Amino acid sequence: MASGESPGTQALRGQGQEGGGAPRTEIPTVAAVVVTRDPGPWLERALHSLGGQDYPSLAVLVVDAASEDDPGERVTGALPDAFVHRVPQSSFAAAANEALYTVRNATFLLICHDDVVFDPGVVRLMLEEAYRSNAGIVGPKIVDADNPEVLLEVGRSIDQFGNPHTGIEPGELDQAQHDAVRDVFYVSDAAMLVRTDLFHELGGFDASRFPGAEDIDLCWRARLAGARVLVAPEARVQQPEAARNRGDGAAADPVAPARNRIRTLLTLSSARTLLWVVPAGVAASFVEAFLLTITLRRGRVRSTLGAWWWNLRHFREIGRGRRRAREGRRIDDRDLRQLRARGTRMRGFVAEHVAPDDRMRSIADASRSAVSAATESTRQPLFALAALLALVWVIGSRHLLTGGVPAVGTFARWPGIVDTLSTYASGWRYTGLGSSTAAPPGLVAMAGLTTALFGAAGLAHTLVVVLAFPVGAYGAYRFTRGITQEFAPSAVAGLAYALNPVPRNAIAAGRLGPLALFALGPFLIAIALRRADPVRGVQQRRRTLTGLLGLGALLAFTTAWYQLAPLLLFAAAAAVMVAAPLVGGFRIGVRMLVASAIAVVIAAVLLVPWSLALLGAGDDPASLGFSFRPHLDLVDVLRFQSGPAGGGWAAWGFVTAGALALIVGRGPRFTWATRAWIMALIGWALVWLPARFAPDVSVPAPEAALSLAALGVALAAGLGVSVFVEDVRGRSLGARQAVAVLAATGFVLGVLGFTADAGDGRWGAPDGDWPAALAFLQTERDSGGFRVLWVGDPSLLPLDPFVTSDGTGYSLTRNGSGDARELWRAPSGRADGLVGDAVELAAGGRTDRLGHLVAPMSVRYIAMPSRAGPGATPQPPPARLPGALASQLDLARLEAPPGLALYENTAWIPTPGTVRPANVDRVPLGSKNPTGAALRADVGRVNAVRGSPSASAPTGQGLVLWSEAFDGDWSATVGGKTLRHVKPFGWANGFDARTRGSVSIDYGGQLRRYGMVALQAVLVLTILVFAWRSSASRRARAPRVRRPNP
Amino acid sequence: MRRLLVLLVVGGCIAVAAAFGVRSTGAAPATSAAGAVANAVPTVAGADTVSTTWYCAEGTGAPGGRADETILIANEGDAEARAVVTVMPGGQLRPSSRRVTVPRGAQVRVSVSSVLQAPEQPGDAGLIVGPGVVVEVFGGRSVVEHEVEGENDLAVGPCARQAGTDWYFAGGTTERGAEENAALFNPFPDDAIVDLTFATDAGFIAPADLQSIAVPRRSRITVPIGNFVLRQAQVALHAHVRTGRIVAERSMTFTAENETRRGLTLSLGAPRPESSWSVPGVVPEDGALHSVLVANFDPAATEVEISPRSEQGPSASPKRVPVGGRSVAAVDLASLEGSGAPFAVDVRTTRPSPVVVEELASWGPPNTGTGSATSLASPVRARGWTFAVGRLAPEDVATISIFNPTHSRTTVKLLAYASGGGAAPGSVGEVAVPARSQAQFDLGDLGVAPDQVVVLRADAPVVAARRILGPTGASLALGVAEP
Repeated sequence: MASGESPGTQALRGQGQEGGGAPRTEIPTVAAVVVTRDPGPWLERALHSLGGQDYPSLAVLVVDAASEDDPGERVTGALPDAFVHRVPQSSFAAAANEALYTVRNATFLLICHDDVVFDPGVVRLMLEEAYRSNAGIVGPKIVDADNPEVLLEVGRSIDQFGNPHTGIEPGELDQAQHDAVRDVFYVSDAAMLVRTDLFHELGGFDASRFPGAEDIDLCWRARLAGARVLVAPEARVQQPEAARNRGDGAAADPVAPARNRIRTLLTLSSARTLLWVVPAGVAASFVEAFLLTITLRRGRVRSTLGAWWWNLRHFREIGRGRRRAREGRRIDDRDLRQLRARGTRMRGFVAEHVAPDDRMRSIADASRSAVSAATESTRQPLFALAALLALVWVIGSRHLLTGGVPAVGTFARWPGIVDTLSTYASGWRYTGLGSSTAAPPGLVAMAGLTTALFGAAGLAHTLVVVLAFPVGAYGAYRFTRGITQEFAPSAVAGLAYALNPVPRNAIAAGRLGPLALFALGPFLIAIALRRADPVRGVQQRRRTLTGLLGLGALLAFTTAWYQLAPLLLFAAAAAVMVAAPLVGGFRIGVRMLVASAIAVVIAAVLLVPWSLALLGAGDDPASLGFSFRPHLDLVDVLRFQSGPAGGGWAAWGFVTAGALALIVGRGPRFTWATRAWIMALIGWALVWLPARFAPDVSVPAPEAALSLAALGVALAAGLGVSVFVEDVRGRSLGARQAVAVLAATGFVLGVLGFTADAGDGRWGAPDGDWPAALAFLQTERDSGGFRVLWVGDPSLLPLDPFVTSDGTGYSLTRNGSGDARELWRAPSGRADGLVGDAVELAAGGRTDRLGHLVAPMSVRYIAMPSRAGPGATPQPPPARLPGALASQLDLARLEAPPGLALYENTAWIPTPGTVRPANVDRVPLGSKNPTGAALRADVGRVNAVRGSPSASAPTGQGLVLWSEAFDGDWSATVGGKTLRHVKPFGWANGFDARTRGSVSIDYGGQLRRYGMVALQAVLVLTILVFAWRSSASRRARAPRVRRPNP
Repeated sequence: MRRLLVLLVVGGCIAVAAAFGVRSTGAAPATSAAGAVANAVPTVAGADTVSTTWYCAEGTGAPGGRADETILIANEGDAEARAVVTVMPGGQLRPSSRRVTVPRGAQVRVSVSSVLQAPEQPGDAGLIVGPGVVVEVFGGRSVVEHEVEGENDLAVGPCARQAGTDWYFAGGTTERGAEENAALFNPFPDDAIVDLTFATDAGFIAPADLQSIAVPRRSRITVPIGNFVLRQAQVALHAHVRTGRIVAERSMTFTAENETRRGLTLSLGAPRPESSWSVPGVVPEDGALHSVLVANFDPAATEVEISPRSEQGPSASPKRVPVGGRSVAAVDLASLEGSGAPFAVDVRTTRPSPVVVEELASWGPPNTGTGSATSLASPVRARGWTFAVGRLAPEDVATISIFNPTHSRTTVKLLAYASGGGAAPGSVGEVAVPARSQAQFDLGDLGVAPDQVVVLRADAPVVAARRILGPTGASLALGVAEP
């Protein structure tokens, strides 16, 4: 083993001695720097390949980064002339930088990993190309050592966010299709030839960029310094694919590669580029994090978001790096643009998550594995079926995807990000007649999704609706997988769940909350079930705590969409407990129940102060979703036909398929099949019992409880596959086989039902919506602020309706048909109840002056739909309502599309509006009988106050009526002078304007609201940080233990 | 064993639910009796009603009109009521209102012309524009009737509580000396489109000029039917509203040219045909002509069974009368009951097609009273009936007849509020009415003054009608039901 001199010098002398001829001082010297640490069996082969190079002036330096066993003997045995240089424990980059100090007189450095096998002429070819193209850095073509016809890399690129990209399809065969010498953004440090002077000028690798970005950083800086980076594909090296990321150190810190790539990006990009890269990159990371969250890969969320967070925290350090980079910069970013790839981030994400392995891998690896797995899977019938059904799903959703989701029910249109967030931060809730209660966090969720899609609110809305199928399917898959640990039963359960009519009916009726529950419910139950494991030891307690926090966070997210989501958890726990006398597992049920209760508390804390507002909704259960009185008989319930979807008898298919596990299953399969069926029975009972025995009681939308039943049936159907494999297949022909055939037929029937419903392309949703049909309302705002009162069957009304004692529903929208800002309305206040009283009086024939009764509420239009939207299936409105509305003396019927009776209130009072001084005395103030006051009041013509309420156009003297529920925090000023605040009609706000001027109406509780928002943010962050740290600590201390198969 | 238990539990739950589901099948939603009555005839509103609206379609609002109208508002509630009488003159004139206070238990009269001088004016296509009246009473338990006067006769009857999309009249005529007018009143803020068709003894008529009649918002038009349906002895009218809702009333003026009748009649229409009708208070006497008109608006022929019911119960055999499709049959009641005692008439269809039944009566010499009257028969029965006015003048002979169509005896009390109002009505008479029989109170004999509000209470559902006969005219009308 040589030592003491530089490998360059040694090589020259050695070659001269061996050749014995003239000195070859003109031949440039190449020093190969092989970095190793605890090398595997491939080291010798790599060294042999270097020794076999046909280039005469090559020296080899093996830098050992503190291997446990000194590799010196192995190196000498394989390549006697090689130098070995041992350094203290360091990274690949730091070890490679040893060449800066130990190599002299070498013109080029060949930096490489210890597992790279060089074809014989590689060094020569690379060197020739370096001279021919005047390149600073040259890389070879890399192929798979185990399968040399498979390409791994021919130079690399990065996308806008610093993610690496090879341009090679996974499994792509090397057919010389990439064999052209070309400029690339960077070459991998698996094998790179770099000019020694350049390497010195750049200061070698930036060791802080390891792992994941040291090669990107070096090549990028070389580029900025004016050097070319080339790939010479004729030079071929081999590397074992499985070992390609060994050097990334991913196992030690999975966040590091992404963090370093972003750090490189932030350091070396121009300021102009960063202006858009940073926000776009953060947003894209949030999208990825969201998708990772719903796929239950929280560890990956940490790496995705943590990378950006870390760099933003170290901005000062990055600033210093940027100053250094600026000093060496000789070219502009624009000159590098053509070398960079586009759109690789999402591709990488998809590839990574389709792949079954949880390990961190490079994007190319993940893509390759994914495609390989997909190729393998396509040969399986189940995958083919899933692919076919996915196609049917796309076809069935085509009109929703292309035309958007109709604004039916709670599918109200999503406004822009700013509007949504300002509604959330507003101290006053503009739902119903207004309320000072907290705004719902669902608005934040909407704004977040819209932000992630760069402000495309319609697309975000559509995706939330349409993706409920696959997300729910994946949830059911995970749920079943947690029970069976087998793929096929889980996949069948996932399919059976997604194909159930429940989500189709939820879409047809426009029920966002139940749809969200359908999608996220299985995840909730799966986590709660996992938390039902007995806890032993500190590690498990820690994991349980983290899991509970995760369950609470997911429950909070789900509850933000649907207030009744916690009930699903309790119902599932109850199912396990009810099944206990039959199959045992009472303790599992109890632990599920306890976990659910703790999760509810966590969710309630995360949702403060909105959760506190919900607690005060006891007098108004409709605000929690108890607003429906479905007329469903037992058959409808059992086959999940709560709406138009279901395919008739086809919906019996999944129920039949679920019977196999119950009738034939044995052991744990039978146990879980029983629990699944009890779960289904409870879900069905929650819908059918009230419909049968308490038809006059308002209940939640049937799709919510039916989601539980659907999950039970899906689990039973999935277990049927396991039962078929274990308990039916291979046995003699008999009743078991007959039941199995019946179950399989049932499954096919269910699939056919799903396929049949796909025909209309919108899952039964109307082909239009009332907001579009009533678009003219938008222009009516010019005449003054107004409301639209929607009355009728609560299942047909937009938003979240109020419900009167006789089941008639009503909702209020402002200045048009309403949008999603009015979702999750505030619980009914006294003023809201007055509208209900008026509707009840009219419906009961006890007044013919409904218009007068609701005039102080600024109700200008009254709409009574008998369909969910244009083209939807008609449903009769409450029996007395059509005649009652037609009998009102102050309502003029307007032309409207079929299915909608639209009236204009001839007694309407605009808001804000000014009562003329001569009529001010006619306005009843502080009345204890607001209904009577409204009926008797004749306030004459009320002039609309133009402009924004907070800064109106000049208006005359009189009483300014502000039709929001009276609150002492409302105030109005004219010319800086505060007006006297009165209570017209016993519920509204009025301000006595003695002088003409611009009125400014403001709500004084805004600061309080900001404080509550800040408190909520602190609570959320506290719990997230706690969960994060707990999770990180757990990962660091113990490997994950899989649940045993029950 | 365990599997069997599980299957039993799961299957049992579903089976039990299915059993309950089957038991629930076929239970039709019950329609409340009160709702059925309210849909058929004017009713007294419940005490919790905040405002009650009455629509008085027919009448004229200027002195010397063909049917000068006066509104009678009675308050049967627990407190003083406030009422707003709004006259909607139609045409270019704006509606005008007057607020009146009605003391508890009192009756208030408001002349339409005192609110707004609204003479009738010619309208489009031979129609006439005239005033309709809306009376809004704030508070429940009010009764509003209106009185029209003309041709030396008067007629009084309840105004309508509801507008509707169909109105039926059985007893019209356009024979010589008879002027039949249909008043179509649209009190709502949007226009109505109405089709008028007629079933006559000569067949079905749908005059082209009377199709798609526009009744503008907040106005009333009068259709002089004789101008479109010429010289028909029996003319039954069906007003169908295509768009909107209206209130329809019909009046007939029998002039000197008429051979048998004189005077003025007023009838509120029926909202739909029914299969059973009752006509109380037929009093055979000299100079009186009583007939019932049975109109069949269905294309299919039908048959009705007409049964007289005297104070002693069924007094003669029922008479079966065929009624052709879209036709009218007139039955002279004198031929039904030979005893000369007052009686009621029960009319029932024996075939599926429902009918509309109306009574037409006239009085002349040698009877002391003169005039003509029509009244819709009653398709409903109720335990309470209210009349805003018992009789119009002290010299009038006014009776209230009660028909008990049930199969059990019932006791009926006649109550009257004190003149000028009072807290509660006092009892002025009581009578026991045998099953399927009728009885009557003579208000003059009982000392009921013209300004007293009269209320009738029965132990069982009955039908009550008022007959006023005097030198100033004659009138027949059902009471306002209290369901």
